[in-house]
Amino acid sequence: MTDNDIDKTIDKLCDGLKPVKPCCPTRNGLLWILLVVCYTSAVALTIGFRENIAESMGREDYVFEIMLAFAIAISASLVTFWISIPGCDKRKKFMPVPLTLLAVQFAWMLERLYFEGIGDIRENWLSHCWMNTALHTTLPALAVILLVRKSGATVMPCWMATFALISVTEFGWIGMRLVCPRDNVGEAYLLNFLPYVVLGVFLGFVAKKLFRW
Amino acid sequence: MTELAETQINQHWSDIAAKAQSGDAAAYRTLLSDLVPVIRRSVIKSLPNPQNADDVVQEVLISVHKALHTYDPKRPFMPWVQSIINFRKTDYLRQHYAQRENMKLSLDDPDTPDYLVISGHNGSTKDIEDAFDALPDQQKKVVELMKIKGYSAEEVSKKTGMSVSAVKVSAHRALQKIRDRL
Repeated sequence: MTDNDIDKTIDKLCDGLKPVKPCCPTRNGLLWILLVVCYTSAVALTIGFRENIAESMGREDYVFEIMLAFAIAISASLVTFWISIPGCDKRKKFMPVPLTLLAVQFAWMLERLYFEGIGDIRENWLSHCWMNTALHTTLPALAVILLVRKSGATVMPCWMATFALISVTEFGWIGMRLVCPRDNVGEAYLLNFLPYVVLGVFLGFVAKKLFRW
Repeated sequence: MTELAETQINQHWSDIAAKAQSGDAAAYRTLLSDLVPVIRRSVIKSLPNPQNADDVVQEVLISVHKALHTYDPKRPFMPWVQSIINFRKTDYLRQHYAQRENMKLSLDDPDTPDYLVISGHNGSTKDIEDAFDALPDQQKKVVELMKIKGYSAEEVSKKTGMSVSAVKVSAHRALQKIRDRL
């Protein structure tokens, strides 16, 4: 490689220059959140809300769970889009927000697991819940991958994949809690949440290839 | 560099990057050409073989081209480009060390990386000794106590009867003289 080669590269890049519009990651993030909220609501309406939804909404623990998941989903979505571009050092400070909320959620789940037990998980191992879960999350996951690949150029692919996964999972979790009548934490957590964690581990391995640019 | 000059330089980078985003090929050429020494300087120290610096420079230039739309002209340009440089440099190093032969180092014929050899200098400790001997006696004593024997500035101050700040200044000037001489 010589200076000549670098000059040739610069020539080639200048020849291929097209006007570009600076992207706004916050706007993209908010757009994605809006799309996912609409989609999750539509899927919940299509499947049908749980029968005892009105009664559940009056329960503090249920509302807390939904609100916590929503806060995690929103913050993780914004962080995903913020770190989808280079030079996002200032916004990296927000990374602990969804992670801390996620830790609170884990602690809450473990506490409930301790008091409620694992439930009838074996009987419902391969239930329709998984289908509903897939329905809730496949399209949002594809949408976030496409949006980030199209408008971003991340220098932190693994972290970005992690936050994208957290946001998709939490929105999916909210959707499932709206339609699934079973409140037992063992069943709800292991059937509706844990599969994403497993998927996320595999996604982590391909994150660099998935978000290559 | 003063804060004002730094602000002006940052503004200059942001301006030409904004022009490049709007399709100005001349500004884009200036941007990329001006970036080459910046990138080279930034990567050369971390590479196992500085001859490969230009490969990384080229990778970074292509990445800047691909990611140009992600730059916000309201923000400083350098942190943006520096994060791309670090990303590509890490990528390069990962690939480099993933090749098994690059992990080996022959002890029979060790290759000293070029950046460890100062051109026109034989690298002998004799030169350091000569530079040290050329120092005035007081500075020599301060360097010997602080940098060779490991005493603190306060301890050297007590031993020599100089003030602590005078000891620090003396040590700094002595090291500067040694550096200049080498």
